[in-house]
Amino acid sequence: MMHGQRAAILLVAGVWIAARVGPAAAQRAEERAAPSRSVLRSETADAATQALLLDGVRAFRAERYEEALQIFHQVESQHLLSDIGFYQGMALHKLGRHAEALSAFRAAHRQGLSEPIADYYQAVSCFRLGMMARALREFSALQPHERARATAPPLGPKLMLGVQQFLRSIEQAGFSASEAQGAAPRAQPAAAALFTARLPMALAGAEAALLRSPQEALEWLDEAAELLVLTRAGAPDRGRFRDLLLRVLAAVGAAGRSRLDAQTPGGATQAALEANRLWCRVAGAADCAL
Amino acid sequence: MTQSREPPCTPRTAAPRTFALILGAGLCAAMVTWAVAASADEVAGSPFGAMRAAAEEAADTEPDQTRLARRGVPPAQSARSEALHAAVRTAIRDEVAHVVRPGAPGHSGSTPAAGSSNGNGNGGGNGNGGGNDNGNSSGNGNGNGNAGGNGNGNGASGIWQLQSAVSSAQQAKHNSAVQAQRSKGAVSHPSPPGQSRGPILSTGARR
Repeated sequence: MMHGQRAAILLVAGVWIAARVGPAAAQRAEERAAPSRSVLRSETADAATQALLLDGVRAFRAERYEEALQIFHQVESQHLLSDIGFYQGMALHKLGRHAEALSAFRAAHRQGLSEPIADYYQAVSCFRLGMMARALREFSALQPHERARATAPPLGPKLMLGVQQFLRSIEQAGFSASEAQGAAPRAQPAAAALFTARLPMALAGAEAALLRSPQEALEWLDEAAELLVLTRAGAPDRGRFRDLLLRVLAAVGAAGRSRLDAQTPGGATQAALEANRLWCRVAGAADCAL
Repeated sequence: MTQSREPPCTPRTAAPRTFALILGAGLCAAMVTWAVAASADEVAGSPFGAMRAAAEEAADTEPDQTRLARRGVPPAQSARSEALHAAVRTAIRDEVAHVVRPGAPGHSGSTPAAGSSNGNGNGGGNGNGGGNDNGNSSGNGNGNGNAGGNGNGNGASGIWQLQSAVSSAQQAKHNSAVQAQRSKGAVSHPSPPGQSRGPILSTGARR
C-alpha cells in the first residue's frame, strides 16, 4: 500500500513536471527559431493573435480568400502588427483587388520589412493593373543576379519560373529598358513610344484613384514616376505629375489624421516622404522638395 | 513449496519502488518529448511561415490569364460556336430581307404545293431557291448551323421549317448577344485603365 502511494505520487509529480516543462520548452524553442527580421511582429504576437492569424492562413490555403482577408482585417483592428500588410496584400491579390494589395504591401514595406514572396505578388499585381514600368522594375529586381547583388535569398523554383515567364511576356509586349551602371534606367528606343503612351493612363489612374484612396493614387503615381524617368518626359508632364503628387499628399495628410495613424504609426509621414522621394526621382536633382 | 519462495537477497519492497520510479521517469520523458515535438511543430506552422508556404503554392505564374480561362473548354467547341453564330447572323439577316421584301432578289419565288407563301422555308435564306415547283429548293440550305438543312422541305412543311428556323435563329442570336455581352464585360471589367492597349493587356479577364 505504501509503495502504491509512492508510485502514485511519483506519477503525479511526473505529469506535473511535464505540464510545466512542456510549454516552457515550447516557448524556448519558439524563441530559438529566430524568426526572420521581416516577420518579427506577427511571429512574436500573443498566442491568441497567432491562432487567429493561423485561421486566416488556413482560409487562404483553402482558397477562401474573402474569409482570410476578413480575419486579417480583424487581427489588424485588434493589434498593431508591422507585417499584417503582407497577409492582407496577398489575400487582396488573390481576390483580384490589386491596387489595394499594392497599398497593403507598401504599408508593410514602410515598417522596414522585406519579404520576397510579397515582392513577387506585388510585381504580379503591377502587371495585372497594367503598370508595366513598375512590373518591369519589380520583376527585374527578383532575378537571381539582382537578388544576389542585394544579398537577398533567391526565390523558390516556382516563383523563379513565374518571374521568367512574366519578364518574357513583358518583353514580348515590347516593353524593355536598359540600365547602365549608376545611371537611371531608360526605355529602349523601340519601347519609348509604348512607355510614353502609358503615361497619360498612369496619371489618369492616379486621378481616378484619388477619389477612392490616396494610397492607391500613390501607387499609380509610382508608375507615372517610373514612366517619366524611363521616357525622360518633358516639363509639362512632370508638372502635371507634381500637381497630382501634391493633391495626393494633401489627401494622405487628411487621411493620416484618422485612419493611417491608427493603423500604421507614422503612416502619413511615411507617405509624405514617399511622395517626396518620387518627385526627387522624377526631378533627378538633390534639391527636390515638393 | 520451493517454487513460490523468493530469492532471499531481494527485499520485498524493491520491485514496486523500482517499477514506480521507472514508470514515472518514463512518463515524464515521454511528456517532455511530446511537448518539445509539439512546440517544434508549432514553430514550423507559425503564422507567417504558413502564410509564406501557402502564398508560394498559390502564386500566379501565368502571365496570360486567358490561357487559364480557356482551360477546360475544348477549342473545337469555341470554333463551332463561332461558326454557328456567324451562320445564325447570316440566317437572320437573310430571313429579315426575305420577309420584308418578298419580291426582292433572293426570294425563291416558288409557290409550294401547300401554298405557303415564302417558298419552302429556305431557312438559309440565301436566295438561291431556284423556284422549284415542288418546293424543294434544294441547295439553298447554305450549310449553316440552325437554319441550314431546312431548305429541302417541301411546301407543306416549309412554313413550319421557316418558323422553326427563324425561331431558333432568333434564339441563337439572343444567346450570341448575351454571350458577347458577357465576354465584353469579362474583358473590360477587371481591366484597369489602359489595360486593353497593349498586347498582353487584353489578358485581364478573370474567372
